[in-house]
Amino acid sequence: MKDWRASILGVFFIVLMSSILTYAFLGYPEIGFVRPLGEFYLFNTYNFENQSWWSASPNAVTGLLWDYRGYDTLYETMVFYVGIAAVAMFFEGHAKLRKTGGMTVIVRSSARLIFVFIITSAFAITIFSIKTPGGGFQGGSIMAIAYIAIIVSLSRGFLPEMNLDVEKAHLAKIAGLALIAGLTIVPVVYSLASGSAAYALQNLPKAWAPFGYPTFLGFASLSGGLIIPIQLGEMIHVGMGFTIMFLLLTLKDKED
Amino acid sequence: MPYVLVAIMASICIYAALFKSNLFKKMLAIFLMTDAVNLLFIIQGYRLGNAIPPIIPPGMDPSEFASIAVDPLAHYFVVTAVVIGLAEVATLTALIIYTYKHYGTIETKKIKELRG
Repeated sequence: MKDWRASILGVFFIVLMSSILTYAFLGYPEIGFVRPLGEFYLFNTYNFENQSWWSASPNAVTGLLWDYRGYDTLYETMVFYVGIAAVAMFFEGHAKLRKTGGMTVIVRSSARLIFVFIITSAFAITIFSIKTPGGGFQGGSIMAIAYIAIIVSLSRGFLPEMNLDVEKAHLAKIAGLALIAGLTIVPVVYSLASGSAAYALQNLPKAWAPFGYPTFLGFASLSGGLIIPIQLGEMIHVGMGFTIMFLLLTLKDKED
Repeated sequence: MPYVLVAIMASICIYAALFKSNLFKKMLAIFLMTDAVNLLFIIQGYRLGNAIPPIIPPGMDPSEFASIAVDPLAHYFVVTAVVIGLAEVATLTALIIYTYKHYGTIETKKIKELRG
């Protein structure tokens, strides 16, 4: 008796909440039209004729991520770092990684082959993010899947043989963050050294701030300024963060 | 219509987060609510007619591109929200595991009944 009354109350709650939210959404703009700010970013992201506001990235989303709204992405990176640090804190004093049997020889051999392809795919998605959908976050997530495949098929204890345990993953994560921090600070150092204006995480020259990272690498390949290096740093940070998380979540306690 | 579907999805997630006693179900509900909001962003960023992704094809005029591409801001917000959602799920999962190790259960009703 109690169950069907609870179900009816639940349905009533959902209907009520849906109505309130639908009423709230009535104030939203009409679907199908892009706002002027979005059109500004689309117009300027890869505009050769007028480079005052360009990001040298044909992919407008990537240009937004690390050029137009770079600070938002920087803080989001910090949020991710704090999340992984919180997970690591809960599992302080974890057991040492030990090799166990793993799965069948076919699965283990396939996992070793696929690992290389997955890591290559992660790098490709990161490096070509200025021309195709992708980026550091996506590449890092894919990189973590390679290590998860190894954990599942060959056991957690196999990772130290690949020269990777929780401490080394932490160091690699910090190296990725250091790359991001370095690229953020370089314009500030340039500004202090040259006396000209520049701001942290500045990508390309502006009318009032002449500092800019190179957009072409000499062999006419588009580099997007700081976007590719910073995406690589993000990939390492996210990939190692997820690897640490899955390692810790699957480890036993020290006292077991 | 798309707004109604997002509202229903968000409402179901709010109900589950508030009234389910299992911590894992609450966490799933919060995660799916993030997805409902991401869906709202994508719906908002859509352009009617012959819309193209926000990646400028080689040789296209920027004005033409700005007039037919979808809103890149929506995609940008979703990428940001997904990453923050992942960090949130990682922390919540660790909390749930820690709660289970400490109390032996992840049912909030049973945890409330436990006396020290």
